[in-house]
Amino acid sequence: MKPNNKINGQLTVTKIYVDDRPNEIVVNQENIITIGLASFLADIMMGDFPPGTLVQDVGLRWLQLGASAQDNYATNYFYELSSPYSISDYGEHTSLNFQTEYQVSAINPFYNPPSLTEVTGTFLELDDKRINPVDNDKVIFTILIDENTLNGQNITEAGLFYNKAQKDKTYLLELGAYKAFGMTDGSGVVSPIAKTKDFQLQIEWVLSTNTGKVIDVRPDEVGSNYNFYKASVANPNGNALVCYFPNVASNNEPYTKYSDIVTEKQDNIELRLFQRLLSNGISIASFNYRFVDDNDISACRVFTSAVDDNTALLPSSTQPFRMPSGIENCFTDAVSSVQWAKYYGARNWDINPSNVFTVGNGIGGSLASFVAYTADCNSTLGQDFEVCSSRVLGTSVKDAVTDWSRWFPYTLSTFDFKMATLPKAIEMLGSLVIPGGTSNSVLESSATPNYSTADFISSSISGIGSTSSYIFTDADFTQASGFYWSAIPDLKAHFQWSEVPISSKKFWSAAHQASSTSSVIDANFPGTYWGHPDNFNVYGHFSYAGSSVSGSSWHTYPTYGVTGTNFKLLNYTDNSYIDMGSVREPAINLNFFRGVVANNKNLEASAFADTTYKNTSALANDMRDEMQGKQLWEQLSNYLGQSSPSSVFTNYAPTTLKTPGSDFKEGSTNVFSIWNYNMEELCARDRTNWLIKLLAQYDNWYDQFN
Amino acid sequence: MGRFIEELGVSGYLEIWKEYSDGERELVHSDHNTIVSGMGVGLALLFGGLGSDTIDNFQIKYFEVGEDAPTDFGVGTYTLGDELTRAQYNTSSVAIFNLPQMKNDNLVNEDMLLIPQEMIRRVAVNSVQYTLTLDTGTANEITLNEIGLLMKNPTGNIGEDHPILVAFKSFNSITKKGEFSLIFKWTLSF
Repeated sequence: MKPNNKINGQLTVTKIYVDDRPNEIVVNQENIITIGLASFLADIMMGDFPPGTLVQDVGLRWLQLGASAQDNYATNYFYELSSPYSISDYGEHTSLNFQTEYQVSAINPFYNPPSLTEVTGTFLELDDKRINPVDNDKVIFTILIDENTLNGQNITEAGLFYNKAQKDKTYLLELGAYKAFGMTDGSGVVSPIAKTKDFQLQIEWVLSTNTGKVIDVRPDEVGSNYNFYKASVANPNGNALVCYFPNVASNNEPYTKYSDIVTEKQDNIELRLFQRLLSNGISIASFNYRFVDDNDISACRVFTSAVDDNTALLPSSTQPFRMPSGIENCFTDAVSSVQWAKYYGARNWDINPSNVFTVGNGIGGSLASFVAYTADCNSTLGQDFEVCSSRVLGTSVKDAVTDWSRWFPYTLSTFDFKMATLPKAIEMLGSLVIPGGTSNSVLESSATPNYSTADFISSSISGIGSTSSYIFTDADFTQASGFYWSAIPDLKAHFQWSEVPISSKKFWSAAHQASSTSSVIDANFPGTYWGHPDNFNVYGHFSYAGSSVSGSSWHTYPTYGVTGTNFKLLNYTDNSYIDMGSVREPAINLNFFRGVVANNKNLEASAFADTTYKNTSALANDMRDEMQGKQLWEQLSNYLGQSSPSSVFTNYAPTTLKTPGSDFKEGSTNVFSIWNYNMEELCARDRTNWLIKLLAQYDNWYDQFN
Repeated sequence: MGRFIEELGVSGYLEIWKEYSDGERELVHSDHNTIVSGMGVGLALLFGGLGSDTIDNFQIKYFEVGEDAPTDFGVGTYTLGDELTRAQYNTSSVAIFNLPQMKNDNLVNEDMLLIPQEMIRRVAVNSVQYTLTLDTGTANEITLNEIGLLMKNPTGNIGEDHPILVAFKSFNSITKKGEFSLIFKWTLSF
């Protein structure tokens, strides 16, 4: 925890009865400082107000009350009360002088800059008598709603506004501080304050501009390729540690063919996620890693057909996982980072090396999930830290490409790809929605009212999920135990095709379906039987911020009508392919939309074909994972001199509509840059909450945050 | 289930560039700054209507550079370790003011540079960036290691401004030379 400046507020609402009943405090909580106040301060620093503009004409001096509550936002990017009262609502006999003024209203608050307009609203202007200093850094706004005002109304929200009109006598008010409130009955049920003539309502709003300690994300230790951030509160059992792998694009912008790739990736962090983790007792080590560039793709190669030469990571004694053969790359960097963090952190950072997670963003998320779901890796770098297991409790990633095969397509045709660890979600934290009562159910994100944190519920992820089940439940396949996917399912597609983020509690792994004591012996590692890592206790949270589906349907394979283009499995024992016959997977068309579309359970294309969506011509085929795949595919193609590196690309299209070979649209970065702040914030919140929820199962010290 | 952001953090980031006459640029420093207690004082005066009557006095309008950064700086920092004097700046290309700076309830005259309005730009809804330049003819042969931003006149003193330090940053020593300009790109976010 580092000192920094913060502005916050506290709202106290007191019932003052007109008879001799004692006063009753009904609300005493922190408020929300909105983006409006930040904008106000930036306006001042810019000198946007004409010289001589009086503070009393622009400062936080207008109050508005309302009958509902803003509860759909996780950011401070909102501009209005949910349901503000009109002048008539305040009553004919009020002693307060309410006025109608123009105020800022949001068409879409999440654009950058936000899309705003003007509407009229009813306000009470606060004079100097109602604004008083408390300390050097505190101001209190006091408003008395008399016994003749708002009677019969259920008061649920309040907002403080400033005037951004920047010229005299014309008001354009913008929300600066907001609070939704109500009376609690002691059991957690909150109800509005029903105003009657029996009492006055005293609203005391304290605004603090203190310089006390707040969470400031600055590293406590800076290494050559890492930053360490110590949790703001010490855990006597040792703090949990997140090994964080950042995205590669500067400012966390989407990764495109033309992205600026940061060199010091450990600095390229998700600020709000870090703030939340640190404040909840979780320390973070953020790591740099090697990354592919135009001149050298070796940094991202994992699998190779070369003979293992024992110079890099080797399979552990119990898990026959070959990775990789004689090279070091971003994946080996990630593995070593986790091992090193456990080893070094236990001695220097007061962490509990048993409570370690991998977390990542974008390509860093790919590394994080890879480490979590791959087998324990041993390395031969000769470092002390290699005694530590690379396995972790779980992983939480955003915008991660988890179909690692797509990054390394050529390897699939070399029959050297022997990882079948891809998880399949079977229990999901979220609500089950059945569009039209059919069985093709989808999960909804926490951005919708249908999201539930009440329970982990089972849901059906079909499509490629059925493919995976088919592989390991059909006797023809389980008997062999030596088959490996030649079409590694695109896990990310699962999470794209419903709104995001989605939390998943448990993942299926091949370990439960195929015995790890297979009869197939790895030729390169005598005595080692092929099997699969046990991921039963490795939990995952996969999220993707900012996208939604514009169409969802189901495709049954084969759909091409051409013999020989179905899904195939690779029999590595004789290098033959086995036709999988008819399987089903979701076919998704993705668009980016401008805001949360609540309650829209009908994921049919027609439901989204309206103006609330971005121009599809600028968006189609622009999913960043597709770009990643496209870019790397091209590079690999050039590198290998192959125009079609893998049969996967011929036979398998993750969504049928989007393949790594689909068109790349230049100029799409601008589209991504107007990202959905609220979704990003929701994602940071849910990832943190999910980690806390999981951590509490291992260390009850975290119950205080759960 | 919602957990709203309940406070507004003020933060800043400083980059320092050397720019040579042939146009070559070199990034020599890049780090977060420290928002100091003066910012809280100034904003409290603003919100409470207790300071200056006019809004322009709350603008950050001056900066100082110095050569003896304190090692224990923090939110309580209210002054640079050793501000340069007009003689050390030794230039006529920038406007230098000698003004009483608010330092922990005291007023101490210091030399400070005016931030031209054209050197302030909006980079986001809630962010402002200042581009502060010591050109090739300014402060040469002086070894610099600290810089501060000052709010213009939050108490609204009549007559000359009473600035207050609101943001501070120390950095590895840079000896200013005539071969290059030193450019400070300072971004404040609210």
